[in-house]
Amino acid sequence: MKLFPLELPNKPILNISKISRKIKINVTVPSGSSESIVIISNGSPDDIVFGILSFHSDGKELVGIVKPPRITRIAVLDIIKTYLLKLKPRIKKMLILMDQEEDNLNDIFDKCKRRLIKNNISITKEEGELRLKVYDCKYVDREFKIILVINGLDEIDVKKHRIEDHLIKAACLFLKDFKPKVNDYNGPQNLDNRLSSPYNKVGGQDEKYKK
Amino acid sequence: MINRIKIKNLKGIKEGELDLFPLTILLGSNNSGKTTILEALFLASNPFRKVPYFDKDKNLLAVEVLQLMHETLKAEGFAFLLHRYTAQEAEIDCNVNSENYILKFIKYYGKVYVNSNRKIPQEKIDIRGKGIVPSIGYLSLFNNELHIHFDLFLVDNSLLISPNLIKFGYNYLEKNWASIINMGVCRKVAEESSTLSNESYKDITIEPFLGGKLSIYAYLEDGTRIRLGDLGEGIQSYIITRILYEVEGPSIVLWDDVESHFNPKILFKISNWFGDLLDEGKQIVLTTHSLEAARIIGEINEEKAGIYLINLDKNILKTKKITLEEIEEFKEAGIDVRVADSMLL
Repeated sequence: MKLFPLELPNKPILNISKISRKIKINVTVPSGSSESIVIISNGSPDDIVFGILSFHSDGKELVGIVKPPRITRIAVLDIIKTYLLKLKPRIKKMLILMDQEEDNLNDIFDKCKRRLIKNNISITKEEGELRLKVYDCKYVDREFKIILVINGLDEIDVKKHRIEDHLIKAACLFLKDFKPKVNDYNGPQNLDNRLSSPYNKVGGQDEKYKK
Repeated sequence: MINRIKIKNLKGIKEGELDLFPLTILLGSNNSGKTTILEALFLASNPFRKVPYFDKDKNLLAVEVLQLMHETLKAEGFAFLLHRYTAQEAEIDCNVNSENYILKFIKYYGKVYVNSNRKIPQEKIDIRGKGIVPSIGYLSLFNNELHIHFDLFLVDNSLLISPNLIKFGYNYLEKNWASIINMGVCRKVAEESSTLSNESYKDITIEPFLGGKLSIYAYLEDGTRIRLGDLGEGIQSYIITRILYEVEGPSIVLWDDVESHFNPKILFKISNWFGDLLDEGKQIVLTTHSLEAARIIGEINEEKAGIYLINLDKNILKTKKITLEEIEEFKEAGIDVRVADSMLL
């Protein structure tokens, strides 16, 4: 999958391009046209993770990527009508990436559904699993799918669940005795920074790690 | 005022049309046809009229100015006017007060004959397959030879401004300084330009520089002088454009890449100047890549402005009129109309 921006300069696409250059993957193109868009509702590092996933999804399909500048999470559902009504070709699929944060998953999905209805978007079918829902939607004469992905892992003991939870889980699997006290770090982002160098002290494992 | 323009087979535009406003702002990516629209409007007045640009000891004609703008290819002749160089005929159709004024460029045996549908004295050319065709002049396809039969205005006169033309405008001012200085516009332009700079200009003069060659100077309040060419490019462009406008007195101002060399302060000043021109009944058509420029100029002159997003799809002009509110709405949704043009047109 190749990603093209609908705005420049746009932080997610610049972040993806930066990481693409560093790790020698090629996932961004300057322009394109598509029936699908990805809406990054939180920001970084969700954009970077998505960029890497795009590379691994392979293929040459073009998909637009947007990050509404001033709104986050569920509020992005208020502006999807702009994408539906103004973009050509007609948008058929929207993938929305959203952090769980402190909310209960069911509450998020309920709030999303209520928000869609408030925006006169009806849901004709719903399927999915724990953190991913696919809604078949209708707005006036437009039929489209919203694929809603909620980032975070319940098994990671943090106050706010974000995409970084997956990194922590990876660290737990990678470093045998790693038991993060992530609440001490006031969220996983700091931990992410500490994990960035293999010689950093992480949960007192640094000496063992060096060996 | 030109209400509508239709273009066929002119340069990169195979076909296209556009409604024009008192102030029309054309936004688009590179190679989207913006400059060709301005050039069509510029030619519509008469390709053979003299315009205030000077190069190599001669006052240029409108069509020669376009040739100069595309000089990078170092190609002689006027084949560049015809779509893909091979179209048999190009057409510019301007609607003015419900009348259509059509200018045709007809290729025939190494020449491009220029024909107008206006009732004016024209030469009669016998073109095989078309019969007798009236012509106001011709252009050679292969060299810079041209022949003029009629050089008066066919529609309202227009002035084309482009960053590429500023030096030729400067040359024109230098060569015609004696008449320009007597018009009394230099002091007014100098004083207005002071509001854009940290220096206070009182007048614009022409005097010998070191070595004796004449140069145009901005004359400062303290009696010192700075050569116009040594001022920042933005101030230079502004001063030259303003004087050229006063000299030419066009009904239509065509400005390519209006944001070029200008910071928002100068853009703001120009926007207000445009407001004055619009109040006088003038028409303005601009191209820009800058949303900031479109917003500043469009917002100040909102009632008279129309903003278009344009692009070419297989050489067919595609346009979408957008409002400033829509630009804001798109911005809120993370969409930049210039970047997402392929999904908006």
